[in-house]
Amino acid sequence: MAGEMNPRERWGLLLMDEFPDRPPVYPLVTSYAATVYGCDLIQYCTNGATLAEAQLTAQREYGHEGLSVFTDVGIIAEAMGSKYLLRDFEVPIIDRPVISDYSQIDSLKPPDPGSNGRLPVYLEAIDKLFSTAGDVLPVFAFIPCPFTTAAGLCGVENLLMNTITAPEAAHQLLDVSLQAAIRLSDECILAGALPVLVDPLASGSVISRKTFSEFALPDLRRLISHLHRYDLDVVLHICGDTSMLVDLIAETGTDLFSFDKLNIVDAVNSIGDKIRLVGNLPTNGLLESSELSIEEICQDTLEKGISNPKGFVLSTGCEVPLRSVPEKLHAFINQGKTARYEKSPM
Amino acid sequence: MKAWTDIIPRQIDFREWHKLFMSIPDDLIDETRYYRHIPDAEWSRYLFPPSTYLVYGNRLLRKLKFDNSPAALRLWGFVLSEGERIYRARQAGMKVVAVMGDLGALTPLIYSFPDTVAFYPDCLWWTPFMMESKVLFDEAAEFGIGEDCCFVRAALGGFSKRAYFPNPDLNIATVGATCDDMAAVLSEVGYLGYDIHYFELPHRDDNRPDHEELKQFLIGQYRQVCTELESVTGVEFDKDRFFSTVDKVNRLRLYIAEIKQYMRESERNPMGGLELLNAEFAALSYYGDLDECISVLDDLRRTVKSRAEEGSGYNGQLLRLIWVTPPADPLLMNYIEELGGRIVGSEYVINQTTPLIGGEGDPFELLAEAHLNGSLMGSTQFRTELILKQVEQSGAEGAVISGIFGSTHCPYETVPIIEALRKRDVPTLAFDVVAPGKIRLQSQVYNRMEAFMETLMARRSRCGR
Amino acid sequence: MHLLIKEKQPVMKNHQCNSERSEESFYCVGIDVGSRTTKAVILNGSRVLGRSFVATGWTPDASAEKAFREAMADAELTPPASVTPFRSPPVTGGDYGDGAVEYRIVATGYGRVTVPFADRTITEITAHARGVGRQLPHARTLIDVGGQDSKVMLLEEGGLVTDFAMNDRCAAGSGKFLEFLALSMNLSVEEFAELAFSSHNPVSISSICTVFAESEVLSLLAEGAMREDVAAGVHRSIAQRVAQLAHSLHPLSPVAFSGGVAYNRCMIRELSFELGCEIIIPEMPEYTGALGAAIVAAEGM
Repeated sequence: MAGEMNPRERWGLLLMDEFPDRPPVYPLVTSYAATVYGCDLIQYCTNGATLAEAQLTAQREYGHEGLSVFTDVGIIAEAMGSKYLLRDFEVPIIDRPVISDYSQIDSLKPPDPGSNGRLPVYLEAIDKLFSTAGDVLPVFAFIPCPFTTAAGLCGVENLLMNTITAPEAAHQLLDVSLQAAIRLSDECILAGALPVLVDPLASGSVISRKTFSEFALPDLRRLISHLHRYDLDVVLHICGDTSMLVDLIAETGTDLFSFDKLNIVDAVNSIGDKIRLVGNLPTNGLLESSELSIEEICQDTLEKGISNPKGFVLSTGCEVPLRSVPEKLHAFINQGKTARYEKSPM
Repeated sequence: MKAWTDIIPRQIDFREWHKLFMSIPDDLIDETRYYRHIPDAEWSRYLFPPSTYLVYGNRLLRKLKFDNSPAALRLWGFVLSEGERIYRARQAGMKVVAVMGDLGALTPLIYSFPDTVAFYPDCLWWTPFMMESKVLFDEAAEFGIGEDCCFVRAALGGFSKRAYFPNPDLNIATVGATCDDMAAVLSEVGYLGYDIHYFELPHRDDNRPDHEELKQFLIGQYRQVCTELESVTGVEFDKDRFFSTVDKVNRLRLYIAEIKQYMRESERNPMGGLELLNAEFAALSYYGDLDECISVLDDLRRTVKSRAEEGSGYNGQLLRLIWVTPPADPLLMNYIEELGGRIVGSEYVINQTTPLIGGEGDPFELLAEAHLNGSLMGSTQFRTELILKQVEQSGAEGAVISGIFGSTHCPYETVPIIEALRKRDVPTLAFDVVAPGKIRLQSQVYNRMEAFMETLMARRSRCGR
Repeated sequence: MHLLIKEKQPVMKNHQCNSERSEESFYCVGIDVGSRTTKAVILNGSRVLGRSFVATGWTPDASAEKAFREAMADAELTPPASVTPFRSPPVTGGDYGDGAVEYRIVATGYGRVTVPFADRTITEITAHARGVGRQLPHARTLIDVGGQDSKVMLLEEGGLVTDFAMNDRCAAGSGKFLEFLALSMNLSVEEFAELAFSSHNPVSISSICTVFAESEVLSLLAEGAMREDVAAGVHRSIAQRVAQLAHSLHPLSPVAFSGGVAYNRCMIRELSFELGCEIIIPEMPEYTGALGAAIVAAEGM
């Protein structure tokens, strides 16, 4: 229809502090795309062309406004030697971390995204998506942040233990994880994707505010400042509860914050003048068992989010679950698209 | 801007630029800003590699080749950030004027109003090529403006979508001795509800020595634009400010002329054709910031100058070419360079931006006088002579004319220009630029370019050059 | 590519010193991958040792290899076991061993980029011009009606192109147009050409678009026009398009005509009529492009 904006145009205006016709609607349709496409998750996680095809199929089916290249948070740790278990109908989980002893840390090297682990899958998928649909749809590449990768390198419990008993070892792990994230981000950018930094293990549901400040925040800052060198707008996604961290989120320097269990009004009031907000439908609402009204939650989120001074993207708080009910996801996206910015040029 | 490292002049791709960018000192990135009069504007930096602009959808940047000098990088960053800059201007409270069709003649007047910037929606014709996208053309087609119209129809897509430039405070469109396709586009822009102030540009009869009548007419047209600008900005026209702007514009025009001269006279090619094209198009609306644009071009001029003086430049005995009519698809210019060519001259129908504007007298008369010498309002013969003069000055071995399928003026102008060049024994390649996505036609254009360059190479070896 | 190939009958004597090897010490192969057919010519010095002609089909790379092998067989040379890309520089002063020779391969035609074993590619403009420059050195204008496009070139002695024009936006004015309309009259191209040649009264075909021309042809036939006159009209229509292209270059005589369509007597007659001059045809005109590519290969790239 004449005069209608496409997702690329909406995001473009948002990132220039302008108001598009309405907020982009971008639920985190990641591995759920495999379900829509009809492939198993092993294929999805190991074949870039399949991942891309699944993303395109899901986008055509649902009409959400962005393509997401993401398989699992272990993608960097795996490329550095940790073993992950790939499963047909569940996302990969860690099987054996590469580091079982401090002495091994010295031997860790940032991986080569072109050849190590499943990182080439990422790059192939981005290239295909960007070449096929990148003119109208932004492509997002999900990059595990240093804290999350470090956990994948030595195991979550060991990392948490290290933060108390061997902070230097923890920092050493974080440092190499940072280098790895920088390398992967750079390659994703060169393939045409905007990085979304994901740090689920730095969530307030897992670590304390103090641990976040000492062990997650510094490297997040470094990673974001690396990306800012290129003037890229950075999306930081932390799922779980971030209500105790919200002021520290501003300190990371991120341009967009994608959040889960955090009161949207609090987010708008505390960081909304500096940071664009992306959120935050509770993803369990998309499951069969949920009795929540998708339309009502969606409307409520929109009404609160749309007032954010720096801009708003309607999204889910976390990845769209594999067993989401299609009608519910459709309802969420369709409802989201009814919103309008009053300040829009339209 | 100082070079941060010794570099051997060559063309590099976006990937190399991304790596090279790591060696740029932080303070240099931080210092390179537009709208310097606005303090602490976080958004005003622009010294970024092409990869930055790639992720925002400029997919062609994956394929282009760029000069590896810091000055060229700065130029690219400045050019690619223009879209955002116009939005930022508006956010910062500046007035934004959309000016169309006149190709650079009205902007000195617009910039002489305080906190006022201009941009050309016409230049959106590059966007479908830079994004490798049909979006803007498809949008224009919604209004019945399709493939039988010049690529400037992308501007209509921009006005309709309202996502490519802010809603202008004033729209000025030149009609008459301009492109008929632009006029068709403008009528649709009018239907969309935009108010347009029309500037009438008469045709010039080059056989008549006395232009007085035309000049008086143009003066009247300029006065009307001035009145519009006064009403939009709420500021009265100020002669002193005008002459200080003219000073700057003249400086910018001199820089461009100097860059062209080095491109033409240097033994080795000192820079790529696309950088030259970007530099020449700076004369249209200064990419939204006159002061910074002067500084960017000054940098470029110094780079080209020092390369010319040192005898450094790209490798190889490249074939010397004149490019006629700007290629909407920038990749074509890269391609001819890849085949062994270099651009030593160009005629982009923007030479109303080349004469220096007089520094004393009635401002409107001075503008009219400068305007009168342009090829836009002149005859094809006049334009042809400008091309032939460049051929002579540069020792060009061939000419490339990139036409636009569906445009009204290209078919009329191309044939006489080819005839004139052939009479001077200058082989000429003319083709229509292919819209994004038409791969088969695109390969035919490439085939012709390749054959053309083989022909020139054979001629050169025959002449023993 | 520098393939090391065992000859059946070694013909080279002085192949040890690479730097001073003469033109004769190389086998120069020109492969013209056209949209319809692929041709190969093997040249040794100025001698054509072998040639081949195969349909291009859907796999231009496979046809190129097939044409190469068949030309090798025609020249009574043993083809290599496998044709793989090999782009290292030649071994200077190296010993090629008994009976081993060096090949240089230049590909041309629309499918030239699909020939992985070519040392170099050139456009069909240069290839046809160089070929005709060898065959008919006095020719000053060259016309090639290809499968997908038509080209007119102005030549100097030896087949150097000084200017050229191409029609390439659509099939009208190309060999494809001819084939399409022959098909609509249930004839082979050869039958169509001969039928047309028997006419002395070509009807006027006004449509310049292949699609419209077909319906025009069918309605002319339905109206009772003679089949041969309609066929001749189709030829005239193409000749007019080509002549229009030629006139933009101010062609000089003699005018040569290369490519497979140059066997078509009616097309020669019509082109001659439209251009107002005699048309000269090189020997085996379908190989002119491949020959030109082989000549470029022989010149040391």
